[in-house]
Amino acid sequence: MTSCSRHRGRHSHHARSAAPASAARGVLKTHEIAGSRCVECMDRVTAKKEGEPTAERNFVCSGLRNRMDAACNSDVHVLDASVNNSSKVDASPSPSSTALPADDHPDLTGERGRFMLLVTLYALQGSLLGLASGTLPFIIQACGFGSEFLYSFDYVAGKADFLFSSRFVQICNVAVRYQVAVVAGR
Amino acid sequence: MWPYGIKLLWSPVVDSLYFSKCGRRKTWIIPLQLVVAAVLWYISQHLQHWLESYDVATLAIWFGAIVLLSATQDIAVDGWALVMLSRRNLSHAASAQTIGLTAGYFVSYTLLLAFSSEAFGSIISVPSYMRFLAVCFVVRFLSIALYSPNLCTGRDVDVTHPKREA
Repeated sequence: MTSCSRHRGRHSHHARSAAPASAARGVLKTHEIAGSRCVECMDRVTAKKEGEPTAERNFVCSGLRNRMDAACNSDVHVLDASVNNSSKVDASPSPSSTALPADDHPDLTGERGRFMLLVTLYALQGSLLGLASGTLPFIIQACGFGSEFLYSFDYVAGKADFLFSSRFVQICNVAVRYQVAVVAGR
Repeated sequence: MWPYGIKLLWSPVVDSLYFSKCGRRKTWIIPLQLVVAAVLWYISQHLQHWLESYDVATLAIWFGAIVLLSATQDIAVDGWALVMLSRRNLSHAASAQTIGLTAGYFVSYTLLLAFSSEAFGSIISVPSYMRFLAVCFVVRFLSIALYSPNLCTGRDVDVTHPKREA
């Protein structure tokens, strides 16, 4: 008899995995199932067995098998014999497994192209800003204004820019845009 | 930089008015990129004349127009960034803005400083750099208009009806 050490006697979660019974296709030899995994609890089959009828793919541990036999006397679903390999695990992880939850740290998987599109769009905007900002001193000097005026202009412009770029203005910007969008949508 | 500070005055217009066939964001981004490219090309053709004639008013108007168009595009791109990326990657939108703006500003501003050098100025001039930027804008416009149709309306959600896509 096979054994499932983790879920002995507790298989309520396996109920939904009871697939329709199918005809046995043959007798599974002992060496073909040794080392295979239970698809529900992922435990390895520790013992060999003979005469176990083969049907579908999924291999269940003894507790469920007993319950299924008692309920419908149907064939036991067993693992595909080709999965008898320690490096290969059959079926998808079950909820009862101890697998760690998926890491939901943002990694831009599948969205790297969109991220780069945004970067290039902002880069083009930044280049325009740099062009305008960097050209201005040359323009001012070309027009005959001296360095003192340039420094004063830069000081005033910097203060004004700080004022207009304040967090308060940005918040107001978002709030106004949202409200107008709501009104426009009515 | 002042247009970036007062863009809240027309940002509701950019958010609200659009062609449904094109999408809320691309309605503004695509034509703006073409207009910016045209303005850059025009300035590159007349910049030297304006500098020699000390035509400060014309220079201020055209460069102010460039920043104004850039600020308007920024409104649309900021909104696009919110719907383009999935919810779990929304934080990367701010990263994209920081990286892009810094890189673009660094390239342009530093390049213009290099123009003060006679050796560098003899190789590349300000008008030629502006023409190069105009070409970049056209290339970006073509890539968005022709090769990213799924970004047009796929995730553009109407803010008044979150379940309806624009």
